[in-house]
Amino acid sequence: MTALSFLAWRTLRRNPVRTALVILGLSVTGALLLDMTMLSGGLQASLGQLLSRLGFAIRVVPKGTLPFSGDAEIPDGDGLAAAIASRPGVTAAVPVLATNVYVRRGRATFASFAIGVPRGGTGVYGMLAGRDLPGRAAADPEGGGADIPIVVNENMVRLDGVHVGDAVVVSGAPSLGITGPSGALRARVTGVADFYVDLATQRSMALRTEDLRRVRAMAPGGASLILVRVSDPAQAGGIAAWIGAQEPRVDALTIGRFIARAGARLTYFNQFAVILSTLSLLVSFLLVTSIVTLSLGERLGEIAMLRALGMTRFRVGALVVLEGVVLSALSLPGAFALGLGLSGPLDAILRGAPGVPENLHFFTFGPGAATRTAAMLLVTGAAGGVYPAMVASRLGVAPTLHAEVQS
Amino acid sequence: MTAELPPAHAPGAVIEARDVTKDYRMPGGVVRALRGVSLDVERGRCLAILGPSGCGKSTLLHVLGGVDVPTTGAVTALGRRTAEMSDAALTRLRLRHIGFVFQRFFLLPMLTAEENVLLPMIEAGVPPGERRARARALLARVGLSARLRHHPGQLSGGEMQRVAIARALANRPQVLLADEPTGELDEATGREVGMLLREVSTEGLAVVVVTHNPEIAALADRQVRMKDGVIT
Repeated sequence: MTALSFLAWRTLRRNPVRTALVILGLSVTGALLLDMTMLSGGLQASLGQLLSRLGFAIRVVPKGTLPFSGDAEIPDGDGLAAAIASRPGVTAAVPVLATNVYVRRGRATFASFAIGVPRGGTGVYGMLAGRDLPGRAAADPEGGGADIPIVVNENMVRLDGVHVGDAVVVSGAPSLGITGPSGALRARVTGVADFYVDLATQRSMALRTEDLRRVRAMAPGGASLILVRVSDPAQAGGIAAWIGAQEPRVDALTIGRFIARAGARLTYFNQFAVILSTLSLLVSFLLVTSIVTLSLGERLGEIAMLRALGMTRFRVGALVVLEGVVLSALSLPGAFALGLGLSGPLDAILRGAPGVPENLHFFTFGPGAATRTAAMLLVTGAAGGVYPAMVASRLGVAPTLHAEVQS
Repeated sequence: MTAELPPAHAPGAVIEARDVTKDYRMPGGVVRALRGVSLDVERGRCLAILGPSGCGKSTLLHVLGGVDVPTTGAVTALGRRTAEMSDAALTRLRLRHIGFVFQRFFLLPMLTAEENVLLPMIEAGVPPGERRARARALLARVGLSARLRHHPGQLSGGEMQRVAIARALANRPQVLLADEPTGELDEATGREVGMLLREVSTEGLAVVVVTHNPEIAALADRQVRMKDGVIT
């Protein structure tokens, strides 16, 4: 096979310009294939990375939903969180309340996503500037004061000019003034944070759960989501099953189940990727078949000579198939360079769509995507060589030699 | 395979053709290229097949060398009837026991002279060290020691044909079949190539040269003439 590879390589070098053009063409189709391979699993991979980054192995949500996907609540979420926290293997169970609120600053009013986190709980954001909510650290004695403390995201800083130390009014309706202990509350910005599941231009804030309940006049005890941290990730499946058995009105989603459920809602990306991948492979196949068939037609006499000298039909066919494989192999560096270069702008376009969390990526490069792309291109190269290989291996030696002399 | 063959340098015919016909189906009907040809190819002798274009010389050479099989009649090459051999067996026969030289040389242009000679030995599984030494010795023998690294495009017609002869001898065949080996060469170069083929036959090989050049045919031990598919 080494001798055949050498011969295939030398054959392709006979016409360097033509070979270079084919490799360029295959690089372009290979780049598209790589991007579609990255897209087909990229969102799930990116989601997995994001979820892992938060450090929670299980998310408990109202049955049939995904976190923050609606207004559904877990009844007695605080009680369920306490029960989960007491189970061996669970190191934390944080009930999180999420809803929409309005923020008024001066004459401007804007909507914001609000996450209520309990005292001593762990948030779904990372601090960038200022201080976290008082009382979030278990030993923090502060928590009083006239204004409720809030932490805002960077969008609110960038779009609305809200800064640490600013006073704002947080309310459950757009036009309410400060009306007392519920409905609208004066708030003071204590810090700026990166909220991990923010949409691109979404304004978000975090405040204590009891403050959020006061703003929205909500009954105590409910939760939108319970985040569960476990000591051993391998036990997450068992603990999730236990939670599901305790409370049938919830789903306890491990990261894997979460990704599967989210992925099921994003099948159109997979379908898109499959269609374009198939087209890319088809064009690659046709390119290889055309060029190898054309090249073969120019050297039928040589092929007949090789057969006359004692090269078997199989080896002659293998030589031609290898030419297709070598063409594909040579296109891989260009395909990867172009594909990776294109994936950035394509990712930016898709991430600019409404409703896409900032930290999610559609095109995720990894060993899996690279291996799948390379394997598909090489197999396509081989498949592209099959037809000319059949022509070569079935070539009539004597008639071909005769025809060559006659011509 | 080797066990079926007669011992090397044994006297007698290495290829026997008996009452051979060869038909080709063409758009206008069947064309009979050979019409009952009988011929012996003997070890250590050079046989020239003469005749005008289209008389069936090349077809006969192909049938003798196992590149093609007769429509009727029998060709026995090295003890086996070619019509009864599988394609794989015929391929092995050609690889190990029959060398071909073509009018158009058919050297692979992307390989050097040495690599062209190495090619049949690679196919035959000759060990790398041995095949390289053998290729260099063969190219030295045909006077091309200084041209090992040259590609066919850098060689003259006569040099290319000498490389082709070295390639045909690479697997130490018992038969060398040359189809119009001087057809694309000038008179002097053609004579040199003819002499080389004649010389090869004196070393025990059976050599068959198809030619329409009486001067080249005159170098052979024996000449047969063909016309319209028969030996006259």
